[in-house]
Amino acid sequence: MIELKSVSKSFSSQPVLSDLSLQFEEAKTHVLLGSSGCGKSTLLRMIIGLTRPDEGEVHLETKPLSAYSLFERSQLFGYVIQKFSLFPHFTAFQNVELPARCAAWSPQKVKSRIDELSELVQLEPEMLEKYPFQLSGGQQQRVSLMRALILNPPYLLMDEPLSALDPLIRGDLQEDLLKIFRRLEKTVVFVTHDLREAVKLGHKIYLLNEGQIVQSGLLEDFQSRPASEFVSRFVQSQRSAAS
Amino acid sequence: MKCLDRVARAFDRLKGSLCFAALLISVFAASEDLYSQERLRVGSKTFTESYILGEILAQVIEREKSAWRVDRRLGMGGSGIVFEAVRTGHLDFYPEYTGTLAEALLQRPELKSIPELREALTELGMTISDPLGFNNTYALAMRRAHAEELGVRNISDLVNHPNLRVGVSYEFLDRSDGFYALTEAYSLAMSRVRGMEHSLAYDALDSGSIDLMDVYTTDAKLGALDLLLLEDDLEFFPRYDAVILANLESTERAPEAWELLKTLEGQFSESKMIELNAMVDIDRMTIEDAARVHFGESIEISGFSRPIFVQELWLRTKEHVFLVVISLIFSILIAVPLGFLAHHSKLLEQLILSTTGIFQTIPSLALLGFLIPILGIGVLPALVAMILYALLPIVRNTYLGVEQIPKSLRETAFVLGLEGRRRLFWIELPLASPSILAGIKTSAVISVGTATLAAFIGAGGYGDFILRGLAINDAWTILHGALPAALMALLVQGIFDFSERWALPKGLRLSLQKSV
Repeated sequence: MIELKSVSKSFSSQPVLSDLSLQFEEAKTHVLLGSSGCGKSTLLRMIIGLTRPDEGEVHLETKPLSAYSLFERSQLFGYVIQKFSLFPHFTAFQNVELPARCAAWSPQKVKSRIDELSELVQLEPEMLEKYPFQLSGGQQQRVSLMRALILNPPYLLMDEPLSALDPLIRGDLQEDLLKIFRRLEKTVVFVTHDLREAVKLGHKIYLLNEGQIVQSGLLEDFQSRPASEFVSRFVQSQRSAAS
Repeated sequence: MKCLDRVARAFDRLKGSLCFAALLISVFAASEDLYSQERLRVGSKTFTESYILGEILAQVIEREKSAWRVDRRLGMGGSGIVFEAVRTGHLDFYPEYTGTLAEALLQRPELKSIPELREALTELGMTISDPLGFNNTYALAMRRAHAEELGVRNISDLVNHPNLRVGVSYEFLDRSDGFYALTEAYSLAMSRVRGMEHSLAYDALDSGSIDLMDVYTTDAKLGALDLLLLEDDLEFFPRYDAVILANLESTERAPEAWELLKTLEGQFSESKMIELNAMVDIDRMTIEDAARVHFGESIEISGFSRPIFVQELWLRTKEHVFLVVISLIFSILIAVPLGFLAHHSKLLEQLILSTTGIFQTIPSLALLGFLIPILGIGVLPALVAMILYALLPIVRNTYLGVEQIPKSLRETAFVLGLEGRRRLFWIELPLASPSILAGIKTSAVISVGTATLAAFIGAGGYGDFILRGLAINDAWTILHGALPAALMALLVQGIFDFSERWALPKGLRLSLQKSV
């Protein structure tokens, strides 16, 4: 379980997260939803250790995050970002096997795990011999996901993984992700600005605004019992944009 | 399978380094031969007369079938450099002048006689022969017509002409018996004085772009150009009797060679020396041939069809390649880690980039000059200077290469738990490699150029031709150095452009090509 205990963060005296507390339950998909600048990415970066909270603590299974070494953390988390996360000098295969190389897996074990993953994310095996620049955006994100999953970490953190893709490919990948999440039953924290994506993927949605969670729950809750004026406006604007 | 693949790839890369190592070893082996100590080393300064006398010193030993092989280090540099070379035992003999020894080198102008000088030199582990016969002192020269027009005959007459344009050799400017001291002694107030290369000053004087220059009284061109030597009416200039300066140990190590050299005492009159100088400077005879004439051989002057110095060219090429390759390897070994280090903190960045930058701003000849008291002369100080010069482009490009790695990739490496050596060798080094290689290429091309300056301190290379050619004002000889150096620079550029094919990670190279 991931737990944030009243964390605050400012960038050059501009508050990004203020006194925020949260728990992410095991084996569920949690979606952090909000428009850009609301602090949702910062929250995710804090969990994975790329940003430290000014105040408060992040706990991972009862221990503070700082109690884990970088290597231990890399075994606990898989992390996928929007784009440019694949190393251009490695083939897709080499990118995927990188965490396994660090963990000193045998080549046979790496091979069979990668076979398994390419089937899971539906990437043609021959694509693995290509370099990132030879792959489409959607293929690159599938490779990223394989790399995040190779060590089979209990937590999967995804920061707008589909936002840079064409709408059509994005829809396909949403479907595939949903299947993958269902099959793997990992604790997923998924950041997006898109309400429909949130609804499609999440067990629970957290709507953020100005560094605070304004409401959490399901879409029905947001529609029938909006916690504030902002919630109804946010839901309304995304609906009209979609139609 | 993957593992085997990697082994094969590693071996492929190793093959390259093995070839490289073999090349290095052969260069080293060649250098062993080039720089061995078991010879008599004869030097000279960088003007025609010194070259000729140096060559005569070499030939007088070689003509007798003595056991000694002569290693010529002619045109090694100015007085200070060659004198220092003899003092420190890097050189055995070279022709020098009594006035230069007393005034500039020992800085004891009160030493007038040969025994006085010899005694002072003995304290420093050196000695001199008796005079070779001629006095090559300084004089000031003007175009005869111009001097007559102004009514100038003595140096004192210059008091009335402070606006004459003066072009004097750099060495003459500052020495205690040089130009500034002379203007003081004669109370002159010349306002337009500049230092210039001696052999170029003649052309400048002849064409009228300067009015007054320093000459040596045995200069070959004195006969050919219509110049007037101004009377030294206050007897300011000391005597400059040519002598052979020797390291004392060398005279003890090779007494028979020293005896041979001493047979040259009293053999040269001023007119004889002007004649020898003119054979080289005006008749374009080679220095070797002019020296042979002194020994009574008759030499035909071949006119325009000059031979290419094939054998020497090969020797100089080996020296040049040696200097460039060795200095470049050390610069890479020093600069790449420094570039990474500079990336670690703001303070280190400032420190490293500005220090390496400062080396770049020191004029290369000045840097060589600084290194002589510490490292002596020859290959070592030349390599050190070249290494210092080559640092900046590599350090800066390494630093920029690491700096330009996108933040997203940096963070990904962190999240994947890549630390220390893995992050360095798996991620940072390959991603920065195009920039690092570009820096190395820049340094390599620059090094081919700076290596020509190594000749100033006796490290050989193409610069030897250039220096000698400048000294005797001979374009043919200069071309022997300048042309191959330019070709080598192009070749180095080509080699690096080609090497990008295998030195850069494949994915990176292909993606760079695509984005172009």
